[in-house]
Formats: sequence, C-alpha cells, structure tokens
Amino acid sequence: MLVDDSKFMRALLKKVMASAHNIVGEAENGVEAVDMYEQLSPDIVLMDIVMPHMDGILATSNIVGKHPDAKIIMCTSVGQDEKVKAAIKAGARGYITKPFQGPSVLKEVESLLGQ
Amino acid sequence: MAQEKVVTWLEGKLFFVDTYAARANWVPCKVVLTYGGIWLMYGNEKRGVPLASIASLGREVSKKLIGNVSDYLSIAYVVGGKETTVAITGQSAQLKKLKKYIMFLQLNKKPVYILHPAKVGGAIQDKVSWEQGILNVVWTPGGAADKLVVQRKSGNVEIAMGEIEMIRTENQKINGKPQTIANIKHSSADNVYNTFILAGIQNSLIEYINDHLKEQGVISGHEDGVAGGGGGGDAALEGLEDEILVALYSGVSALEVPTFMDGTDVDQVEEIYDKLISYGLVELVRLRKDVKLTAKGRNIVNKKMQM
Repeated sequence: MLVDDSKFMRALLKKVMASAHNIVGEAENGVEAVDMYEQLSPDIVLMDIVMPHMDGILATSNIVGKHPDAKIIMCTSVGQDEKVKAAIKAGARGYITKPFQGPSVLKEVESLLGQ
Repeated sequence: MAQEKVVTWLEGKLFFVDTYAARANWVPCKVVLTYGGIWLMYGNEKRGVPLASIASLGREVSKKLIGNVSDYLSIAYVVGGKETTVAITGQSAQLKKLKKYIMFLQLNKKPVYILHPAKVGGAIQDKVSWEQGILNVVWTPGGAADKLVVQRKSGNVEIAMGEIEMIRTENQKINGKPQTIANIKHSSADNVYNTFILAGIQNSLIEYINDHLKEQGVISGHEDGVAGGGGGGDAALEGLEDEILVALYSGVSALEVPTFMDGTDVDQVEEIYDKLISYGLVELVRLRKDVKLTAKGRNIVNKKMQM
C-alpha cells in the first residue's frame, strides 16, 4: 500500500514496485491510510511523512497501535532527522530517503517482508 | 613551528580583518605553507599560524571591508584564545592551490569517525554503526581519480571525488555526544551511498568537497552545497522537468518516461531532455530511431504472410 500526498511520488513508487509486488491501495494522507489499512491489511506500507490532515508519523502510530505487526517503511526527505526519530518511536520498521533508487526500495521492502 | 619543509607559497597582499575598520588596509606579503603551518610575511613582520590553530578557511569577509576584491582566501585561526582572521589576495590559481594544500594537510592521515553505508540508494541502514578510521586524501595526476579513502577495521571505504553528488551537514550522536557530521552522497558502479564522516577539522572536509563540486560544476560558484536544496546550480527547473529528473534518478528509463508521465507526449519529453542536456543535468547516451514501414516493406510483409 502506498501513502503519499504527491500523485507523482505514488506513481513513481508504483512503477518501482510493479515488477515484484501488487499495489493493493493508494492513500493521499494519514487519515485515508489508517482507514485503508483496516480494510486491506496490506503486507507492507510505504508511508510519506509530511502529508496534510494527518502526517505519516501519526498515521503510523495509529496503525501500529492497533496492529503491532504492521510493516511500515517511512519515506522521508533529506534533512528530516527529527521526523525519522519520531517515526522510529511511532513504530516504523524501515526508512527511505528521497530521492531513492528503485532497486534499493525493492530490497528494503523484500528485507522487511522476509522478517 | 616545527616541520618547516615548504609545501607551497604565494606573493600577494593581506590584511587582518578588523570589523570596526572603514576599509581593508592591504599590505604586500609572502605566504609560505609548510607541513607545520603558514608563515605570513609582510613589512618587517613574520607571523606563524600553526595548522592546528586554523579554525576555518574561506569564510566570507564583509563586502564593506573587502571592496571590489573578489579573489581572496580568508583564514581564521585561534592563538592564545584569540581568534584572528587574515584575508589574502593574489593570483586566483595560487590562492586555490594554497587553500587546497592547507586542507590536504589538515585532513590527510587524520583520524575520523565514519558511518558507512549510512544509506544505500536512499534506504537508511540502521544496523550499521560508527567506526573509527584514518582519512587518506588521495591525489592523482590531473585529478581524474582523486578520492577519499577511510581505512577502518571492517574494511576500507573509498569515495571517488568524481562520484560525489552532494554534501550536507547533519546532527548525529556519536558515542552519545551530539556532533555535526558531513553527509556525503556518492555513487559507485552498483549503487548510490550516503557516508557520514566526522573529521577533526570538519569545516575543512566540507570546504574541500564543496570546492571540488564547484570546480566540477556540480554546484554553482556561489552555492553552498552544505545548505542542501536547490539542485542543479543555476538551472531554473519547472514542475515537469523536476519530476522527470526524479523519475530518471529512481531508475525509470528515459524511453519509458513519456508513458510514465501521464499525459505527456514524446515530443514534449524530448524537448525537456534537450533543456536538461543544455543545463548539464543529463547526458545523451543514444538517439532513439523511430521508423515506419515503406510501401516496399509493407509489400514484403504481405508476401511473408501469404507463405
């Protein structure tokens, strides 16, 4: 499942993931992400940090609060160290900084799926 | 100062920065760099600046003081608890050489802390820890294969200067102590890596890499790579151009971009490629051929299908 307020970033992640994984849902903000997680129970979530309505950290905290085994990878921008720390506390299990390289995202996803 | 073997020298003018002065009082000087430090010789004076006392290089001096002088090197140093800044002007190439050699002496064979790889292709490697190492600044003829090599117990880390994309500073805790580290993003044959380094003279490490990026045109002359943001130097990119660059970076093939960028036709994308090439942000690998069948070609296909 992809969560990002940028349509372009969602398309890019979809393109990167499409070779090996199915994208079951896309959300534009944290509120949508929390609802969608309940409905779809995806294997893994790629979650942007900065989003309107509810950011990725709060959304992660909400999802992990109900589903402690949820596998969430945060997608951060360069220089968001403090947010990364908050995401770790919230329960994120992987971290990717933008701009990313497709094969590394896939590797990170597969590594987390294998845990 | 010990170790008096001369490394390089220049003749020019200098002044000691006094922020309360109305303007700079340049005096003719000779500046000699030795393995131990810098000798400033002017008038009847000879002042030694030990390498270890240098706090920063290349800091900007107020325009009010410096006037129209654009080529200068400022050196801030601390002796006896007092910080002094001297500005030196001379031939541009000599100033660059002096600065580069000072930084080399400050950095080469010095202990550092290193975290490598901190990121691979953007993915943070949270199982990697900080290690101690020795930084080697490797110069090669013509500079083509210059590199930074950090020797550490778990293996050497080599960062080719020509493969550095970016440097910025970040706050990190090392052994529980907050430090401002250099985050160096660089590529190798197989991937893009972020390596974090904390050097004894951190300013010089950052300045050394920034000067290299400016020389290579990776960042513009006035741009401070450390500040981050503002990709592409002076290139003024619009939304679609930005997105195409990001897509290419992430591994979308140039030929797939028109399909990937919903609603963008091939001609529009190729125009953007031309613009990006002119900015030096992408390079031409090959020209794609687009063909259509001639009547003769169609005739052959028709015959083949009758067989």
